Amino acid sequence: MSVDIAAAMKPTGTASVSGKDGARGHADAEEWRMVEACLSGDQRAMEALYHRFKRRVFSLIVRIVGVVDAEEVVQEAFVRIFRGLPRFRGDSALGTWIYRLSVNAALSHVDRRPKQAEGEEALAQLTSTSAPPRDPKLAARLEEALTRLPSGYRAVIVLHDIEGMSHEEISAILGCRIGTSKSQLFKARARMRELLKLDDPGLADGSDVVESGP
Amino acid sequence: MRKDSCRRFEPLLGELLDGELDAKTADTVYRHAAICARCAAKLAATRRLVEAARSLQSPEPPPLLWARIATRLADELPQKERVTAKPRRDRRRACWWRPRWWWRWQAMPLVQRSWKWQAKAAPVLFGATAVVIALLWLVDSGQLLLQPAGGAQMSQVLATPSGYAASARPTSFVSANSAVSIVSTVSTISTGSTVSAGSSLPDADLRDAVFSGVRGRAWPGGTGEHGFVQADADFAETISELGRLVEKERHRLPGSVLVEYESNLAAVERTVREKEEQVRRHPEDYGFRDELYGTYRRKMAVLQEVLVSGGSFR
Repeated sequence: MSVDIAAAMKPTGTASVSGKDGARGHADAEEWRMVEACLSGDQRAMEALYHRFKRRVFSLIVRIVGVVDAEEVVQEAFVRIFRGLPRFRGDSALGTWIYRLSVNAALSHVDRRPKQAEGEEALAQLTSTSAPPRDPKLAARLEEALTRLPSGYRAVIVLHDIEGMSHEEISAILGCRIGTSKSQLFKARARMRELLKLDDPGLADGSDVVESGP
Repeated sequence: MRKDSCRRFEPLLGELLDGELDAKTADTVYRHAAICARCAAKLAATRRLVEAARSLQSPEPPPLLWARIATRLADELPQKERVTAKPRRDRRRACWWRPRWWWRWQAMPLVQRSWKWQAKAAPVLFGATAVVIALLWLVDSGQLLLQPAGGAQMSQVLATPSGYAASARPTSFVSANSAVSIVSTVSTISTGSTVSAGSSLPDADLRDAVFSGVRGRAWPGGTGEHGFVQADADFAETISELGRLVEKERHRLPGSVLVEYESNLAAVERTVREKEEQVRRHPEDYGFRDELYGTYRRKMAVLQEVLVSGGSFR
């Protein structure tokens, strides 16, 4: 068996979203201004808020609920966001709060959806609208495998591996502990490897342990 | 290498890839992976998975999504949120203390809709309103007409035929000047052509003339025509200006609002055409003209309503 250990060891790095739209400790002055403007009924401010977060919200939701229901859930999420703005206290960044509502909207939609619909969605359409990835075949299989993951695993892997959020941010969005986020990600990745058959089939049963020199 | 140690290192492989391990732990995991083919394979597989996940692009939301969300918000927020939201949310909604002329002023393109401008304009508006109220009160009580303002001058003012136009204008145009015109109108109605200084009029006549409009009244000396031209021009200008504003904001209006607006506008325009025809057939009947002007005001209300309820100035 030949595995490029040096390449495999290279950290992929977590592209933290802290910054413009991401999750920081608290809402900053600019975010408060935007929230105030929205609360005063300023249509342009509401539209600006939508355009600022639409891509990430849509991306999160489309990967949790699938293409077919994504638009409906995004609408629901933004209605919840604007309806809930008076309750935004600024304990977390505006982005974190918005992603939390979006993920909750997506997960509750998945819970309500009939079980047989799980995993039957074709995500080829989604892949075709995206820019060509480095490994198009694997990317398409990955999108398809995502739909077969349990919704909890799906949310964590989408937030961490696709959206590049850190475990601190994920714990703030999902309302769980950092350790829970890490263990969920570990299980989600293991399940994805199984679904994608990325593990070496010869080693899959764990019986063959090869001793090699350092 | 025993499977027990693999079990210990497996959860750390992902954290090693994410760069979340401290140097010492990372080195330990590295040493293990270097001698354990099973963990090395898992590491490589996880790395492929994460790289593939990172390479996925964010899909673009549909272009009309915001329009649909805005429509839902327009449908849902007024019903559900007006009760629960903070009071400040309703600051810009139409209400009795912020009447339509205020929204019209807001719609003026040259006027900056900022709090600074509003703060400057507030005392002016307040003062103008106070003057109008004072003048109307004086007219109502008859005191103004009793003032010896100079016989010749008063006669000249009262002889001008602009009174009808002033009283027929929309209420948003009522100002100190038009209040004076109302005075002259009232005097013209009641006395025929001129009023000499110091003469008085019965309170009932004044009240009737000011507050009951011009319906059914005979206007002396055919003085109305000039005033009608002015009033027609004022209405046409206002309606045209509001129409331009609606056209400018049309692309921002939700579909449901547009449909309702088109329907209301078509209905009111039908009525306008009917009233205009009646005025053409009976030019001497001021009642028809008054009804026509009422219809103009309804058309203005429709245009103002779509600007306000369409969300442009909320």
